[in-house]
Amino acid sequence: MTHENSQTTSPETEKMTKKEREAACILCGKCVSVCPVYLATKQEELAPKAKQRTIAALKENKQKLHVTDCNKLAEMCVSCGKCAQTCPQGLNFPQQLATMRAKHSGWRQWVWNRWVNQGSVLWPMLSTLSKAAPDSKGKNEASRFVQSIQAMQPPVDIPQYISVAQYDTELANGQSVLLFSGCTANRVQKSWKQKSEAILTNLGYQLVSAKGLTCCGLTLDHAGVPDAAHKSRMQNLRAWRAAERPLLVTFCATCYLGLAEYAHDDSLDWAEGEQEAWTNALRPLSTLWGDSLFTVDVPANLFIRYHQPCHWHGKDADFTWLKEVLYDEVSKPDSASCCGMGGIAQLGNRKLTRKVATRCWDNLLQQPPKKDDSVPCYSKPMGNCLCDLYDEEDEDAPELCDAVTPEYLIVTGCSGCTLQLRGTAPEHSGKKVKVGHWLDILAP
Amino acid sequence: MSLLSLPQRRFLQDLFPGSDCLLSPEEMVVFEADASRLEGTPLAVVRPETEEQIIELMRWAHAERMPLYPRARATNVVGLCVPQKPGIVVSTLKMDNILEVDSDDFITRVEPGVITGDLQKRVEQDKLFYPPDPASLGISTIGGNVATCAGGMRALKYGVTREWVLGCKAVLPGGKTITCGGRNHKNVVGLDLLRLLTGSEGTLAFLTELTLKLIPKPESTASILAGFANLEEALHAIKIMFKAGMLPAALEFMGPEVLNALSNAGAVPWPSTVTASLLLRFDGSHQALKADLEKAEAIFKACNVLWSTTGIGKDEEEPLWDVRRSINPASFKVAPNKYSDDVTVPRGKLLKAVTGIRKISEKHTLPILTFGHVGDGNIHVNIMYDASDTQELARANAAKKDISEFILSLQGTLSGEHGVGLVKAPYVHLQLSETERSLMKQIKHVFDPHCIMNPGKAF
Repeated sequence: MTHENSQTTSPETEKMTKKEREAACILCGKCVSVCPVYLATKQEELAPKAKQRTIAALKENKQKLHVTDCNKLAEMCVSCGKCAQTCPQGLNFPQQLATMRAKHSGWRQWVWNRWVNQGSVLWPMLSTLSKAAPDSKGKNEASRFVQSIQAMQPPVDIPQYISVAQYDTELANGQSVLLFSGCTANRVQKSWKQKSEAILTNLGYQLVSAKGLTCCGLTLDHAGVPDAAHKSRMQNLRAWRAAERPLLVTFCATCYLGLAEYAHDDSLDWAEGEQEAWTNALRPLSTLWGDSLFTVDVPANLFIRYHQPCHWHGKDADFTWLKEVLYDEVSKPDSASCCGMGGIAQLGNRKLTRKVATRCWDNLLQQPPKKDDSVPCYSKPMGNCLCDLYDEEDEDAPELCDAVTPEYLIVTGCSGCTLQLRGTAPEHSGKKVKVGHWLDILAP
Repeated sequence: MSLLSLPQRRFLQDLFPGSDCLLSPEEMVVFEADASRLEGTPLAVVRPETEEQIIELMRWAHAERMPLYPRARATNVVGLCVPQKPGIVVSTLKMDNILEVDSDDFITRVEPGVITGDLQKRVEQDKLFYPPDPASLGISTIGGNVATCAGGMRALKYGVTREWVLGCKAVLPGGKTITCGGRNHKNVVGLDLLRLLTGSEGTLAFLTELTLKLIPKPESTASILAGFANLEEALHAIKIMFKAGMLPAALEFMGPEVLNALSNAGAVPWPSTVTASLLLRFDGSHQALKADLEKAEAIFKACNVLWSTTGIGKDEEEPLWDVRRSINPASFKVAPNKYSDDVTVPRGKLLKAVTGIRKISEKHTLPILTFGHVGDGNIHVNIMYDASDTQELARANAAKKDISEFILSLQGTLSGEHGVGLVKAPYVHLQLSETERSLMKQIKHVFDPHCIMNPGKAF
């Protein structure tokens, strides 16, 4: 065997510390199967393992690669975090990318300019970012844009298919709750906040004033503005303390993840045992229903499709609850696909986030399995649809099923996903597909 | 390193427009290596979407004497995708369509870039079953599985990939196409070129389409994870089980070193007295599975099982199989580098093999993890070492050679499923005679006279 080009270790790798080697990418390829950027492009060079290899190559031999080109490749990431969840070596590319960005000189100016000029779906976070704005730019510019997005956002026309018949107040037992609504609900989708407040009150919780809360910091962190993210975290932590450490409830997957990560952030001034208390206090809204009862009224031709936010990392309380309430009226694609919201990627690579969204929509608009009581298909005493009895070539048969056009409604449990999916929604049967948070289809 | 000439670059860019032809080192970094972590030099990376593009590429490369390296997800661990001699990497990841699933003919036609797990999910919608299940099935492709004749856990009952390939279309160096086999479940006309291509590690031709055999999907599955005091008792239990007329779909074992590695990497469900573990899966009808589990549990009890747990249906079984899946990541906590071997011995010689490997481990004072598909004699041997320690590296190499020779002395084979690639190429002569290897080289010459297809690999 000749070994002209092949080698397991170079002298450079031998110099790596033990810790570095243990944390190195082993090129197993698990991340490729979950990376939405790869799945939308089928370009292996954009998969997380390629980026890990690039980072390693840059460390070993800077001459070999052009740093600017490497950065361009690195930025093809939508920060969904799925690679980090699947990596056996515990590598977290979005986090590595954020660190790289934070170190980059001129990055802050770039972020600010792009955010203000192009970051439409990120505008709700803008006023938080404005605190870390470079020099002269500041609050006024931010609030102008926040106003404009508020004006742009039309009221959502989604019927409330679920209503609460009876609240279970036992679980609450009069506990205090701090509702963390997040930037989008605070600035753009105020109805989510109002509904959540009503739900919590009806469930018997004591609502604590949420005035001191600000952005959860996750998007800012991924954007490579760690000091702004840190400030936000500190402010939220103080607000929670001031309220005497009540339950901290959120209805947004990204906010939930952002808040959950506080407990791993040692730069916050945690008191003894406080990190654990924080983790225990944090709850998704949909886990607080207890044995509440609901009435459901969904038209037969409506397919409610659930979009699973990446930031739940597979532990999705919202879908579990929706499934309990809606049974077969709600379904989700076999495999969760990222909507491409991508936080900072919206600023640098809109085209990429669109591409990722297209794949997500292909999955969402697949026809789900037939509902149990599919009205247009008439009765089915033997468990088969009447249409199945017809020969496939029989021209009359399809008409039975096609008499009523199916409609799609997409629901999700993340502010970012909702905005991204609304912004990219395609037309179905001549109408733009409606997208909402699950709070939108609920009458509290 | 030779670089591509301007006309060569132009040719590739014309044939593979836009982002389907990569020429910059930054974009090609990941294509230098595969899961073996060996490295080579890609001169370009191209991504065909059609057979026509491959025909044109093969015609050109043949004329230019340009090495071609077929690559899909690059999950193999023996360096099969590594462009050892500078050449062009051909990614099949854009050829990922399932062309047909026919429940009357019990076949499916697919392009090489289809992920095996995705295909399985698709055929299951029609209550059909494609059994080969290499551990990488969720992240590896059919094309790669066929090129390496991938095995898997279900090989005990259903055989390896080879048994499920009915036909293929392939392009030869020079651009001619051939069709081997087809939709027939029996076919004895002519020499079996299909078998020759299956497992040829991309050294003969470029596979562009595959026809695979399907069977009806078993109703359900059930699993048992059982712990024994030692290896002997675990392997004895298996013997008794086969004698009792049982054939599980999968039967995995994990040796003492593996159980140690797993408990060091996280919590394990079994008591510390357990030093060998068996993991079995049965498939069939619900009634049959219940009976199978009862029978297997009774046999294990009679064989001094220390601990066991069962699960019926996917949801209950997954936690049991997660244990098996966590071996690879846990192994890297033992040492940063490993030689991952997958030697195979005749089924009756398993205990002898595993005991012998432990002796080699002691001799070279290196941790060697043994686990694998005990039912079919296929043992995964992970020699763990630290490559930055030159002495340890030398000991690892010596251990690898000792194991190879020992396995062959038991009439075993150097590789049951990983393949030869670059990693095992230096040892092939231990198993294959000069005459056999020369015959293989002549066959390669007939297909690929200028040796452009994945050169330096396999034999």
